[in-house]
Amino acid sequence: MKCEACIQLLDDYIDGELTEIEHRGIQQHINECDKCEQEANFLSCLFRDVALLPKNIQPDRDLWPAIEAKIISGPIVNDQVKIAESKISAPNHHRRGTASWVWRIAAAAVLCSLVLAGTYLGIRKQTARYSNPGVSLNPFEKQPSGPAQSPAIQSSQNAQETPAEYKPVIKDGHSPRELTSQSTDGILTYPLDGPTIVSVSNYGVYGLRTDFDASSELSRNCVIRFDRNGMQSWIPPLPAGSSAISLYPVGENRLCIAYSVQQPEYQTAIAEFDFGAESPIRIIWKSGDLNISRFIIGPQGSIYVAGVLNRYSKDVSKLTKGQSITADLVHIIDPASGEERHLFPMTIRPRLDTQNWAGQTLLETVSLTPTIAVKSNGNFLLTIDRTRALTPDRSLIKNEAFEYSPDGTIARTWKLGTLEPNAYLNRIFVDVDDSMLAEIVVYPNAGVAESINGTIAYRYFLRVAPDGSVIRCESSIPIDEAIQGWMGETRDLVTLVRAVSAKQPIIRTHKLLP
Amino acid sequence: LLIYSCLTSQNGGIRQRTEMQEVQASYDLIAQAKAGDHEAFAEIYRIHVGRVYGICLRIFGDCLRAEEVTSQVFVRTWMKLASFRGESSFGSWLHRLALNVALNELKASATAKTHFPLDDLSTKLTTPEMILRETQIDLEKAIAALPEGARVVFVLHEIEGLNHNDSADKLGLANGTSKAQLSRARKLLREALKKS
Repeated sequence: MKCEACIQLLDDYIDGELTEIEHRGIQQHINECDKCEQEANFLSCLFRDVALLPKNIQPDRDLWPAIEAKIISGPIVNDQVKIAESKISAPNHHRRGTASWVWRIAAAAVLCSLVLAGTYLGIRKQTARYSNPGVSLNPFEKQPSGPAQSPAIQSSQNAQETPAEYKPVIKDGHSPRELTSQSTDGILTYPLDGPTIVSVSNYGVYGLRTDFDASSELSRNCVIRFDRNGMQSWIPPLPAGSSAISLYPVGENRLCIAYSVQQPEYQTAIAEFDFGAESPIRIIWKSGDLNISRFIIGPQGSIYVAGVLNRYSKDVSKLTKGQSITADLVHIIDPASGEERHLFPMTIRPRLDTQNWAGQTLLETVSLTPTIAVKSNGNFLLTIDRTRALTPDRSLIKNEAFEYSPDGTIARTWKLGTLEPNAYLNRIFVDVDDSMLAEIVVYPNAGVAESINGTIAYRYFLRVAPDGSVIRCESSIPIDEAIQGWMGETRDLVTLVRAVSAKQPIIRTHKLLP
Repeated sequence: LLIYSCLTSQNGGIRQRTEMQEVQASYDLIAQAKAGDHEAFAEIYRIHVGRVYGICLRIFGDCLRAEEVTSQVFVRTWMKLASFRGESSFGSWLHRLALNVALNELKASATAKTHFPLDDLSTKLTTPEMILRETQIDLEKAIAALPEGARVVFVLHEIEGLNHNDSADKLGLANGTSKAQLSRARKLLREALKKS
């Protein structure tokens, strides 16, 4: 390939719009040609800098007085604005009349009161507890659980956002896909418009929807429970700013919620809730401090963990094996005591996304995956992905895990093998014989992580034995038991889920231990 | 919530409560503004004006024009507020409205070529997270200096995150034209930044 042809295709190369053959051709040329490599690097830097430009710019003067004057005097609607507004498909706004205002304000007040009553009630109760000296400060002490059906729950019958009957909306050509179930009895079909994470267990089908306001950077997490009668939504009382939320159903009306918060310092926690309750029953597990000291960006943009300072504390619940399929999945047995303990994988999301996405213009990038697992000896594992970011399908070409001692030193390095394109390491589990199980998720037709087309995950495990050998284990987890999908915006996600009824136990044959 | 507040320092607990209250407050503000409360809408304006003005400034490359259109966006927002049903975040809804209003204004008017006061850019960005590095100021200058067609496509695609189809649709261009403009913008930026 000549330089001229290469330069012409660089834009498409960066955008990932080339065919595999063209892509390889460019890549090969760039590897051999300093000039074109410089061009590619320059373009990469340009995109990185553009991505870092601020979105918010304050005007020199306060525009509000002029806006308020127009609002009060009644704005003139010109044709152009009408055209613009017509694209925001929504009913017409009422004109502000004098007499009708009174009724509208009154009606709005009544409506707001009704709709928000539950939420307000919950907040008032929580606020009152701040000043209640009688409540225990011990996070591991069992707290009284809330009512099974609190006012914070919005039932499908009266909540506008969760109507009983859903009509899936297909956006941007992403087609909802159906999952097949092995069960023929008790199958329910739920088209979901919104929830990004669905957890299915013997105890129910749960979804999580996160509304995020980019301007205020505030988010609200809503847990949705599905059953034969429809669906209910509930905003769990998680700390503000909670992220990386996972749901683990552990009982008929009970679930554990794993979450991370960054303020006042980074920590992850798993809390046990009754669905609809206004406070957690208890905190099952929490990490104290997990401080990643710094990252080094290498000459090619690769990200290396320079050091991890881990001073976490942990407490482990005494869940009974079999109480939850999820708990089964993550249990370990302490070889020393023989005691069975349940550990959930922690999830971390250091602020690497921006740099990482800026880094996608690089040929290869190394990223810290948001997955950590804890071993029974107190060590923890942190996985590193090496990905090729420029292919049309982001491919994971290699990953490895570093086992850290609590003092932050590396105890061991695990090679997790070379994985196929489109494979994502979802999480890792440490087995009783010190082998590692890596749960791999494959997204068919997956693009980069922010625009995955396929929402159906195929899962399998890689088992890495202590001697370093890698065995691929077929997961017997039915494909419809857990689905994770992402798209650019949470609310754009359209997933059609055929879920197994909570009342029909799912027979599972998977076995983590050989 | 109580538990978590106890786990953290007192200041942390207060901050968490404040954030929780802020979440609720943003929903309350919209409800109040829908009911005709000007003060609530003023608060919404203060929260979102930076984002809207940022869009307008980059699309028009002209401070005065950007201020005018920003005002228009908020007037239209007030008028359309009743149609906001919370099916997407308010920020996303406002972002779409702002883009539509700005692009229609752009199409409707022969934009006056009053140039972006580039030297003032760094002084506009006053909050700590918005302080621009020198390279970013160069970049902003280079973007503002792009020809209008190329600039708008570049801003929509690279900064506002629209794909080719959406950019072309909003601008009334053929998909190929939009791609060509983007390619042109990138090329011009490369040249401009290499000189600087």
